[in-house]
Amino acid sequence: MPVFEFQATTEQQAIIDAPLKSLAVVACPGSGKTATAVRRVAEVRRRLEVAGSRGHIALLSFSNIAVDTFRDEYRQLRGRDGDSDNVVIQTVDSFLTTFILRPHGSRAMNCPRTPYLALGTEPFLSSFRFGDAKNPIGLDELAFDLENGKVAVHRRFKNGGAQRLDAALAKTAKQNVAALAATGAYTYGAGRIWALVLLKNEPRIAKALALRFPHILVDEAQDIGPFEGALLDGLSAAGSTISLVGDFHQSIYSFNFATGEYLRNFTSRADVLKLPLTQNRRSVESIVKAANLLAGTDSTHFRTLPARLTGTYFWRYDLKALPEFMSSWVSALDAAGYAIEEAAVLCRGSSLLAKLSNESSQIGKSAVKHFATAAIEREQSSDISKVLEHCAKGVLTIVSNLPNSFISDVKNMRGDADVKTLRRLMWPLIRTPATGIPRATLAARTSWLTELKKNLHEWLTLVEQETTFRREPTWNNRVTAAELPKKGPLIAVDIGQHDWSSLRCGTVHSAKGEGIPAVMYLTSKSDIDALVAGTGDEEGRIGFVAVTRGRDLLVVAIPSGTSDETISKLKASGFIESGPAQLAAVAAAAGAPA
Amino acid sequence: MYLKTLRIQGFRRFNDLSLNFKDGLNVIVGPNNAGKTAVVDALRVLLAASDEGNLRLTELDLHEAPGGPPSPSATFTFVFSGLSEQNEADFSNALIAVKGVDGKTIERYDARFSVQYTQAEPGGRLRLRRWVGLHEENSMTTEMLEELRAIYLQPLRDPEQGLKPGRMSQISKLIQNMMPDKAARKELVEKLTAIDDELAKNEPISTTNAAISTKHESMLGTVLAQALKLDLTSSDFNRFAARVGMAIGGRDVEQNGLGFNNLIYMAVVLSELAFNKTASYCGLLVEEPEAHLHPQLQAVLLDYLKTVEQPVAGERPVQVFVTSHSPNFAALADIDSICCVYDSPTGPVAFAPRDVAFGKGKKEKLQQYLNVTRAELFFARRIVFVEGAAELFLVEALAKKTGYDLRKHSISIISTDGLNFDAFLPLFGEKAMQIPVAVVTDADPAAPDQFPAAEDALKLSAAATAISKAEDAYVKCFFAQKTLEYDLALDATRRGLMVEALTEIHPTIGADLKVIVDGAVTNQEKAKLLFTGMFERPEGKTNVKKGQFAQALALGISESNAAIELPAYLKSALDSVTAVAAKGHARV
Repeated sequence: MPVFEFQATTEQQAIIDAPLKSLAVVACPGSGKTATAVRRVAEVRRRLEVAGSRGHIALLSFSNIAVDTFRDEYRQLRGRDGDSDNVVIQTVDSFLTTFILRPHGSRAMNCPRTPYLALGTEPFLSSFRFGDAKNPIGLDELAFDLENGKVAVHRRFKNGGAQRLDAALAKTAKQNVAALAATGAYTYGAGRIWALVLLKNEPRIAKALALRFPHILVDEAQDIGPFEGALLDGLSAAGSTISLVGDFHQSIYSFNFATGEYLRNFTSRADVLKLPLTQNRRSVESIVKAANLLAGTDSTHFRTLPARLTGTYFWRYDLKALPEFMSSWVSALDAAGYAIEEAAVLCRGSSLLAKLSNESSQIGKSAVKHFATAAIEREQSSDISKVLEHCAKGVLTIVSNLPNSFISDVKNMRGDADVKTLRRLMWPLIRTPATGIPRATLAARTSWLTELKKNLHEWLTLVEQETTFRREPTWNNRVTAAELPKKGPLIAVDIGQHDWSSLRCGTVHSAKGEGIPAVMYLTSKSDIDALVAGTGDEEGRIGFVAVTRGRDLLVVAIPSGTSDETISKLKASGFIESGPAQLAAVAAAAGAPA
Repeated sequence: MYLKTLRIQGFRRFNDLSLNFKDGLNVIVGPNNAGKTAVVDALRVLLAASDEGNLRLTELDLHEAPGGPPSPSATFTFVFSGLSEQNEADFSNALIAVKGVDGKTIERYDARFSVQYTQAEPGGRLRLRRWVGLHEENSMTTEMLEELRAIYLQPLRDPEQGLKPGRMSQISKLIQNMMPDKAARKELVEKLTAIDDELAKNEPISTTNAAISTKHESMLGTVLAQALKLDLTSSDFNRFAARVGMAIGGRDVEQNGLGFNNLIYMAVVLSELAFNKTASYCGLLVEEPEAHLHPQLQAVLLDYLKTVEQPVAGERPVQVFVTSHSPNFAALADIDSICCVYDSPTGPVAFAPRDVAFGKGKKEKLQQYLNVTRAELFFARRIVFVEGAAELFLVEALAKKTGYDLRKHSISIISTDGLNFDAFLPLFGEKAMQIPVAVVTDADPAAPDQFPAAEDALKLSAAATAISKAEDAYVKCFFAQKTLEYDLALDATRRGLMVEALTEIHPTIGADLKVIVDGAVTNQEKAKLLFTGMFERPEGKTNVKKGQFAQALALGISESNAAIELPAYLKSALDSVTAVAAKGHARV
């Protein structure tokens, strides 16, 4: 939203002008918290400058998209970057890495080099596996919780869910994490623990950081996990003023043990100023009402109704006829006056999503898996750094004696001369499909795989000539057809395959923070049951997040066999029974452009 | 906070040199070519980095071991200590933990900054990297760089250039810094424009302007003619600053003396210190401030530079680095402020007298005795210590006469005025400054051996024995059988010269003693008689003054045509400092 259009509401202004103490901002969806947070930070900065303080302000969130949005908004507001203004805008993880782990982590981790992030697929990690020999636990599968000040270790499963490890396994787990740390590596979960350990061991560093960041504002505070919480508590105890902005009903990252507890407890503290944002400026009245009914909240709406069709509906669909259902959605959108770019289909998990997009979430095995993913992402014009990362993972499995920090080095453009040369050689693999990773539109098992093998063979020869690295002797065995689509290409050719092929389909998590004019929430049985059950548990909250992405039009698509009980709950939450044909009719009757 | 350690690797003459500094004033001394300028340039690599006249390193600055390949990179590591809590906050990423004596508990945090220049391709520019803290992956932000400021005063300044009006004058720079606020500048320019407008209305400006413009227009015509206007102050703040010049006592800069101009110039530059109030660290790098200053002014300047160690209220502490060739500076500065850079057998080395463990009271003695002539010891490559002025004259004259060119070998003869070797010797030897030192003193045996023969074994007095304990690989002690005068008298030719010199200053005593001495038989006897006849005269008679005698004898020696032989111990002493010189590298 362009900055000159912004006019703060009373609630927003109260936050911006609040005194310099801890704030708890419980914000309903669409409440303009980005604009508010950025202006609050700018105001705090101004007051610090007037007081002659050298302190910086940290504005932290949990996703790169949120951080980019904050940075853009700040730049528009102030005419310069946060960095030149003593304002640091980063993700929480990035903040911990920049100011704690990288400069000081080696003392807590007992390693002789700057700590680096291990993504989980690196081959060297396999030597740290432990537990049952038939089903060993890898360190990247571990999730950590804090119980009564003690670290509890859980194993995360790929299909969701986690299992707590017993005392003996937990002990081994901790030993292995420490052993990994001694080589310089940490996984996402462990990184937070090391940061906490460092601050506890060296209170002067905590003091220095608190003095450097006398004000820290954390967005999406419902995603604060136990360790981030402990870190914030530590900084607070050392003198920093913490403010939180978030919504308990949108806590959807419990695999991190972030349940919204921290935000809840924070909000109920006596010394914290509570300044809620209760006006939903994103969605039309019907969507706001439905959200209120689902969450038991009392937010108000702001927008007046646009000319085209709006509202909250539910449609039934048949899983076997999904493509046709999608086509009818697109037609309905058209009839109701929505362009296809203004719409999205959101799903809870990736399996349902996979049915939509004809891509497998787990394609191929080993090296092929990585190269295939790289090809797919490249064809979909994803963030090029993601493509590079997948390519690097693939290279890691076919080239031997690479340093453990190879992926991290490639991403951050570090490493010695050999690594730099290898990185330079990797780029043509991505850039030139003819001699590198072939186009994902080729037949996967046949043309694509054969060309890949041939190209990799020649590429490895080149690598051996120009660097000291050598090919893995058994590399060919890792480039197999296992788990590739039996026929057809890795991805469907874009143009012309389906009329809904340019429709955006994604997980609910991927749409967090966004406002989309027309949203369809495509549910399975468990998803819809959870939605109507409310925001008491995470599944319900995921549904709540899906619903509140919608600005004007919201359709919940339910399986055709959904029970009457569930349907009546759905109606009670403000959803009107409908279908593609009915919607088109209503739109026509309302005189909406056809 | 202050810079505690600077480590220089692979830069110019330094393969690996570490220097320790203290808070406040640091005086860096040393012989020519030892690398004092390199040390200042190393400091500038980090500190004056935002200055104009930036230091540009090229591949020629990379260290090249003799006969070896050039170093691929030059690395500079700076460790700052004494951080306040605010400093720790400002440089949190640069902090390194310093463990206590037990090796476990963290005693404090210092801040470390590293700068590295690497040769990327031959003949190309050097690649520059800056990082903080323990590991290379933590890069230095420009924010941090701007917090580390220094003002640099280069040697051989041209104060006239700096004080006369001009765009690049120091005054212009200072004025611009004094008024950074745009609004204030605008206001000033408006005032100046008003003055100019007023002037333009009156003679002579108005008539001159008209005359020039008319002529100009008649030459070029209305189309090509340019708008000309005479003004005094100009309508632009920067041009105004460039027009301001300094008058000294109502006269021009050029009419003032070079020395005083230098001081004014320095004052102008030092005023910039006022602008670095908010920077976390501020340093002052001064090269050879003694240029054009005579000793009194040097003392005045040094006293001023010392005051930064205890800043007055409202002024910020500044760490000062001064390089100097001036024994004045070295003598007047506190011993603790001195840092010596010199050539040891293994290459350039840094040595600080503050690191030496002096005996009780010795350091204070040294500070007292460190006058200008003795401060030469910080600049010498080889040293001969003698007991006093008399010995100084004689040894110099004898050395010259017997063919030792002390100057060419860069050998300094330093008098310690009465056996105060113990105050000076702790500064030299294997554990301190590793340069060749010869201590020339007396065995001065007690009775009954107090008049030995030249061939006798040495019998050291208690004092002499104490001095001999200082001997090591670098410090060597050489003893006269008795004293210098006695030993000189053990040889016939030398004795003759001595009697002549004595007769010059004391004709009667001289004539008498000549007879007595001629009457003796052995050299030992003759020496005893001459010695006692001059310096152990009977009750009621005054002894010959040693200093006066030495002067006369030295003159006699230098004017004589006879071939003179040195006493054995002196020859050994001079050989020991010159032999090393002959073997050593040809750098003076």
